[in-house]
Formats: sequence, structure tokens, C-alpha cells
Amino acid sequence: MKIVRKVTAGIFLIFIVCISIVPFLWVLSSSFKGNAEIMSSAIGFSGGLRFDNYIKAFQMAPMVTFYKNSIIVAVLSTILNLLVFSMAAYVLVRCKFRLNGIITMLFSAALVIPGAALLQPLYQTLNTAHLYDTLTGLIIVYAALGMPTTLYIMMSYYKTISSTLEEAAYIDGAGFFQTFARIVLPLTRPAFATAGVLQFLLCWNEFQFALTLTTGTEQRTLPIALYYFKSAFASDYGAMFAATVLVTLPSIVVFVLMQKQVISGLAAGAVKE
Amino acid sequence: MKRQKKWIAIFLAPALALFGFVFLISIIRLGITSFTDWTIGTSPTFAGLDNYIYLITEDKEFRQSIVNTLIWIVLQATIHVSIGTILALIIRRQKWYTNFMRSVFMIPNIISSAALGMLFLCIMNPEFGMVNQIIRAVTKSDFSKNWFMGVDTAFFTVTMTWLPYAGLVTILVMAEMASISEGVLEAARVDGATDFQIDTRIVLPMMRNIIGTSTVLAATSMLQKLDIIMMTTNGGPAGKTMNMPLYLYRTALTNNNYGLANTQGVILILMGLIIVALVRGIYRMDKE
Amino acid sequence: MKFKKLTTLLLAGCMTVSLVACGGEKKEGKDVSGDGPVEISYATFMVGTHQSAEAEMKVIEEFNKEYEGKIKVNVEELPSDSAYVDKMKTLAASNALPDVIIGKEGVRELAVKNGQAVDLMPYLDADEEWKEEVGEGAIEANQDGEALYSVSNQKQIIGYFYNKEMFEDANIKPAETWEEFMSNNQKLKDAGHPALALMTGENCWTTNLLLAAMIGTDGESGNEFMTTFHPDSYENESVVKGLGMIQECLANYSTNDAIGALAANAMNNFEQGKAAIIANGLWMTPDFEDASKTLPELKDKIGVAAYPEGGLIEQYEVGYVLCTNNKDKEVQDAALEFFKFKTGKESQAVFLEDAGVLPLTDLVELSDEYKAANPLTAEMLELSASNKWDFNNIDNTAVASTIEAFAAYYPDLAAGSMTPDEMAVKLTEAAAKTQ
Repeated sequence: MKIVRKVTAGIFLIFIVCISIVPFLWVLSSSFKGNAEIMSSAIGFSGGLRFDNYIKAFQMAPMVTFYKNSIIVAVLSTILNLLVFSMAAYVLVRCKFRLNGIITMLFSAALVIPGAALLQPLYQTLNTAHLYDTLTGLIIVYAALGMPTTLYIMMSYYKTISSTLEEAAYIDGAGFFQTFARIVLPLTRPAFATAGVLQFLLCWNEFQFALTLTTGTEQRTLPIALYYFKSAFASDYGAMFAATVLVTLPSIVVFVLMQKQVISGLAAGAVKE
Repeated sequence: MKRQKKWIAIFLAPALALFGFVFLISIIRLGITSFTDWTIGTSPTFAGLDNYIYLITEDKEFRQSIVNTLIWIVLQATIHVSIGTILALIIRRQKWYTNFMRSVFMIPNIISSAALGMLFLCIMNPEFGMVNQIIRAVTKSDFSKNWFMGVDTAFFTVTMTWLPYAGLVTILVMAEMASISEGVLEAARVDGATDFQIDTRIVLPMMRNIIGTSTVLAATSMLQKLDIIMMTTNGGPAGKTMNMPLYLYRTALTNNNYGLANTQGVILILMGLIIVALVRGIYRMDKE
Repeated sequence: MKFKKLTTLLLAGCMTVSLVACGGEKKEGKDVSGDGPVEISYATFMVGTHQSAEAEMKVIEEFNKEYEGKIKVNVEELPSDSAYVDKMKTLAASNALPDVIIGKEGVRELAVKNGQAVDLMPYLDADEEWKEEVGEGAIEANQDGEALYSVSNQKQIIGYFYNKEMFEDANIKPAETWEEFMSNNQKLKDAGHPALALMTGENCWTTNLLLAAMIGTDGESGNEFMTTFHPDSYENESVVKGLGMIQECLANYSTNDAIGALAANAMNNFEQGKAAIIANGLWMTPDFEDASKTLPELKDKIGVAAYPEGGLIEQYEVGYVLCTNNKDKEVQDAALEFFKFKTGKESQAVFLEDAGVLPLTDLVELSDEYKAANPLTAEMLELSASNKWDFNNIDNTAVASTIEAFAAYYPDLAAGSMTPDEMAVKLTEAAAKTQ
């Protein structure tokens, strides 16, 4: 019985690895190929490795500016998002007040608003607020776009940690904010790491809003660079995949680094009784 | 209590401000214009319930897009979440491959959809695609299937571009597992529980909240799914893979009909809220 | 300790946010009344790998140099055609189109509808030299009654390319009639070559070029249909007949991956010697010189031909739209200057030289050197002097929702689960959807 379970688990793991790693390997190998090779065979390098795709990626699209902007937008928007919604989630979980249910439901609505329907109204709002074509505008929009995910993750986590520690702090005379900052936040590191990674990825990969809410090349972010290689009749897929690798690698690094946070959270764990 | 009230307000204010600025204003705009006849380049004129009546009674494509979206939501809420959770359970005990697995499983969620779309188009290509090549090699036949555009395979193939990729669920569940006290598990082990029993009787029930959250996120992600469908089948053949966001997008930006698109947006939001409420109810997420 | 660290971090974050915010604000205050140059906006998708990206950049740079201190063009780069159209539509809905845009895929109609587009006819009449450079043909092609809301950026002549070696193999010549065309396809197939590089993804480009040719050469009525802008109905004999032939081509004479394939797939199939015929414009010719795209041995074995019955797609593109109604007088004048520059002789020459784009009139001459270096272009120009039928392509005449419908229903048509008649009905239904 146990062996059967182990074998099944093994097969399951191998399956997961295959379907997950194939896409990345494919993108990586394609980034060294030309159009003809990409569109003629799935595997193999008939034309040898072509590093010029990477050179092209930098030449044809303003990658450096986009990198800079993406880092600014992703980092600041993640900070803003985590700050604002970890606080809101805490109150929604721990405090009883009349509007609680309504506000939770209202915030849930953000989860189901179709992005395509948001494009035009958001453009108008940002234009009126003089935030069109600014990184600030993008930071604010992304912080809000990631709101439902962060909120749900934080809320779910707060619910699982017992409130005995907090109550003890109150008895000791600690204030509301102090208790939150000193007692609660350190316990929620794993949730912060998870929500932070997701928020970062959202900002790093989002294309449609970035394009709609900015005009100048100076204000644009990385995902837009990928489309410089995709025009109707003259796509350069090799260069596009090279750009994809350049865009994807930082996010993988961020993920692996943040993962360490999750694990150290694990060691500090033991809060669930 | 009074002091707490002040803090509640302070803690909620920034979130409400962000929500209001980005979402609420937009929702109000959507709601109002959903009752108007509004195409790009003209000003909206009041049309009452015309858009709603048209969509519900006449628009067959819209109906099909609702059906497809619902099927995808159910699949995502069940199979997708199960895959992610099972993996989390398997790699829960720190093994040498735990970190590796978790990172690897997340990769498809990190790659941009533009690249993923091209990738799937290429590996599913009827002529040179990897999938057909493998089947040909195994069966020694000249098998050729147009996965994305075959009338009978399109829906399945599009589903497979996201259904197995549950890395997000895995990291969510694992982060929550980090909060389980070792003491509880130790006690169970002392009582003679097997690993399997610990997983199913102790760990899983404790994960109720986060699995509920994952289900909400996974289900509602189907109300946002756009890029990858657009890049692979674009809703075809003949609407077989059309979903609500794509139909909305098309109504607005291909047909220039903002009024009708916004009506679809309102219907989509209402449907989404019902789904969120359902999932929260099923997982008893509103209770302690 | 931890709390302090966190607070510091958050404070730093907030400060950076506000700093960026201020930086943003400063940029907003555009200097309209001051002494600086008048700034005008222009949106383009000709960036990145687009064939005309270099020419586009050159023309804009030249303009900015020539008008330095007076006018400055702010370019919004919108990589990929679909991203361009999406953004233009979003802006059109808020009456916020840039001063000069490209009006393709229905964008011009929206600019007219929202009142931003300027009638160019009075300005053309006032500037004889410019009017001559644009030419009668281009003006007529885009005229809407008395008004003219766009000036074309190029003339297009589209026939098809074929693989001479495969044609020899099958012992055939470019067909004179559609009957011969179909029997040629069969001969090519018998000789082991898939005949046509078709595709039905995106806008069904290569497939619909062929369909346009089938319809456009089907007598006076068919030809009239293929020169009708935004037709209401597709339910006529010529369309149904054409769809019938396309059905056969998709089912029997195309590459296996045609259904759902991208233009890039079809082009690759032809360039890699996997299909004998591809309908496509002259801009494909630079690809033939590129060894990373086209098999080197194929380079000299590519021919160009008119469609059967002497048909060619000859049309002027929609081109540029001036969207400065209700804007400052200064901006209007400056944008008009840029508009003239962009559509004038020099720009046309640059686009011909760098991107192989055919000019609007004979004022821009194709030198003998150019012809020698681009034999396929030269041959096509000769063909266009003697062909019998001229018509537009479907991408130009059909509304966006109809083009989506082509892509949606070709799979059923090819599989035989839909008849040409039924498809024509679907196309008509779709045509009513674009508002």
C-alpha cells in the first residue's frame, strides 16, 4: 500500500517537472534560434547557437530604460500594495464592526472585474488625475490590481494564527498599532513573502495596462519590449524569446530569493495550535 | 473600543482610497454606461435595459461564452486546486527536492503570456509540433492532429494550457503549512498515526482557509483569462473556445460597442460575486 | 528592532513614491505658450521588427532636424499592429487621439465619428505641390464624398509568389484561369508538393488575398464587390463561389498546419520550400535575401505572378489621419506641417529605398539600380501595367468583425461542416456587428 502511494507520488512529481520545465527550456533554446528553426522543428539546433538574438533584443527595443522602469514600478508597487492591504486585511479579520461584511464583499469585486472593461475608464480616471503617462500612475494601478490576491492571502493567514499573543499584548498595555507591528507582522512573514512574490510578478509581467496608460518610451515597462519583435509580417521570434529570457530571469531570481523567506518563516512557525 | 474604531478607520482608509480610485470609479462608469447605447466616437445615449435584453435573449455567442467560462471555472476550482494541493502535501516534509519542485512548478506562472502563447502554438503545431512528433514516434503512424483548431480538440487543448499549472496553489498552501506547529504533528506521530493519516486528517483540515482562498483565486482567474486564448485559438473554431473576457474585449475593441461590452462587464462582475460567495460558503471561510 | 527597520523601510518607500509622483507632475506641464517648439503627438506601430521601422525613424528624425526649435514630434511607439489598434480605439473613445495617426483597421472611421479628424481636401487644394505629390489616384481612393479624411502612405500591388523549381517539377506555369489554377494545385500535389501556403489565424491574410482574387476576377459584379468599402452583405454568387474554391484549397491543397496558422507560419512554409505558392505583398522580398529565413538555394527560384484572369490587388492604403480638430491653432498648423512632410515626396522616397514601399505617384522614380536590385518588384510593376482586373483586399474592405468571422469559421468550412453559403451568411451577420 505504502509503496503504491510512493510510486504514484513519484510519477506525479515527474509529470509536474516535465510540464513545468519544458516551457522554460523551450523558450531558452528558442532564444538561440532563428525564425525558420523555431517554426520547423521542436527540438535541436540545426543552425548552431545564435547569440545575436540577445544583441538584437537590446538594439531593437529600449530594454535598459524598460528595465529601470520595471524595477521602480515593481518594487514600489509591491511595497505600497503590501503595506496598504496587510493593514486592511488585519482589521477585516480581527475587528468586528458593522461594515465589515460589506467591505469584504466590495473588495472581492476587484477580483472579478474584467481587465478589458477597465482599460477605458482607468485611462480617463488617470488622465483627469494627471497621472496618465507617469510611473506613479502605473504604481498606483498595479498596487490596486494586486489587491484582491494580497487581501485574500493575508486574510487567510491572519485567520490561522491564534489571537492569544495579541490579547496578551493588549493586557500588557500595548496599543493597537504596536500590537500589529510587533506581534502580528513578524508572524505573517510567509504570507508577506507569498503575496509579495505574486504582486511583484503581476507588476513585472503586465502588458495591457502598461501600454494603455503610458505614451512615452521613457515611461514604459519591460513586457512591452516583447512586442517590439512581433509585428504582423516580420516577427523575429528568436529575438522575442531572447527578450523573454531577459524579462523572465529576474523574476525567477526574485522568486528563489523570496522562497528563502518562506522557509525561514517555517522555522519561526509554530503558531498554529 | 472607541480607540479601536479610530484604528479601524486608519487601517482601512488607504485600502479604500486605492480601491475607490482604481475600481470603484470604473465600476460606476461601467454600471451607468451599461444602460446606454454607446459606440466609440459617439456620446452615450440612454437605452434602458436594451443591452441586457439583447445579450440574454438574442446573443447566442454570448451564451456560449458564458457556458465555456462556467465549465472552465468548475475545472479550475476542482482539478487545478487539487493538483496544487496534492503537490504541496507530497513535498511538505522537507526533502532534498522540495525547494527545487516549488521553484520549477512556479516557472510557467512567471513566463509572460506572449511567450507562452507562442510556445503552445509551436509545440501543438500539426506539422512540426513536439506533441504530434512524439505520438508519431510512439505509434509509428503519420498521425497529424490540429490540436488548437480541431473542432473536437480545441476546448481540451486550450484548457491544458493552464489547468495543470497550479504552482500558485502550491506555494499558497505551503506558506500556510509553515504555520502548523510541529508539536501537533509530533503528538499525532506518538499516537501512532501514519504519514498518510497525518496528511489527510490533520494537515488538510487545517488548510481549509487557504484552499478556499486558492479556489477563489483560481476560479476567478477564469474571469480574467484573455491573452493565452487570444494568442492560440482566438475563441475559434466557431466560438468553441470563446470565454466572457474575450467576448467582452472583442465587443469593445473589435466591434467598437462600448455600451454592450460594459453590460457584459456588469454581468461578469455579478456572476463573479456569486461564485466568490459560493466558494466562501462551501469552505465556510466567513467563520472562525 | 524589527519594527524600526520595517518603519524605516516603509517610510523610504513612501518617500520614493511621492518623489516619483513629483517627477511625473513636472513632466505634465507642457510648455505650450512659451518660446519652446510646438509639441505635436504622433502614434506609430512601425517600430521594432516592422519592415518600415528604419524608414519611419529616418523620416521623423529628418523632420525634427529640419524644424528644430519650431516643431517637435513626440512619438508614441506601439509595438505590434494589434496593440496599436487597441490603444487608438481606447483613445478614440475619450476623444484623445494623437495629432497624427495611421487610420488603418477602422481607426480612421472612429476619428471621423468622434469629430477629431480634419477634412484634408481644402488643405490639398491650397497646396498644389503637395497635392501633386499625393496624386489623384490616392486621393480618389480615400475620398468620402467631397471630404478626404486620410492620405495614403503607400500603393500596394499584390499578386503571388511561386516556387519555380516546384512548378517545373509539376510541369506547370502560373495559371491563366481559376480552373487551371485548381488543376495546377492537383499537379503540384501529385508531384509531392503542398501547393498553397495558406493560414487562417490572425486576419487570415494569405488565404483572404486569394479569396479576394477569386471574387475580384469573377466578372463585373465580383470586381465591383471587391472594390466596395465595408459591404453590408456577403451573400452573393461571387463570394460563395470563391469560398467554395477556398474550401477545396484548404481541404486538399494546403499545408497541414494551415488552419489556425499565423502569417509567419505560412511565410516560413513557403520560404523553407514546404509550399509552392504564397499570396503576399512585395514587402516579403527582403525575406528572400535573408538566409536565416529563406533557404539560400531558393533565393533565385522565386517567381511572381498575377492571379488567374489577370487579376491584381491594387490599392492605396488608408494612410495618415490628421486629428487636430478643436485643438490649439499652433498645434493644428504644426501637425499639418508634419502631416505634409510625412506624406510628401521625400518621405515616400525614403520608404521606397529603405522599406520597399511603393510610392503614391511617379514623381518618386524607381531608378534602374533599384529595379536591378529588386527584380521581383520590377516584374510586378510590369504585370500591373497590363493586368485586366484591379481590386482591393479583404483586409481593406471588410470591417474588423467580419475579419474575425473569417478566422472563426474557416475551420468549419475546411472540415466540410459548413457550406460556402452558410459561411457567407455568417460573414454578413458579422458585418453588422462593427459599430
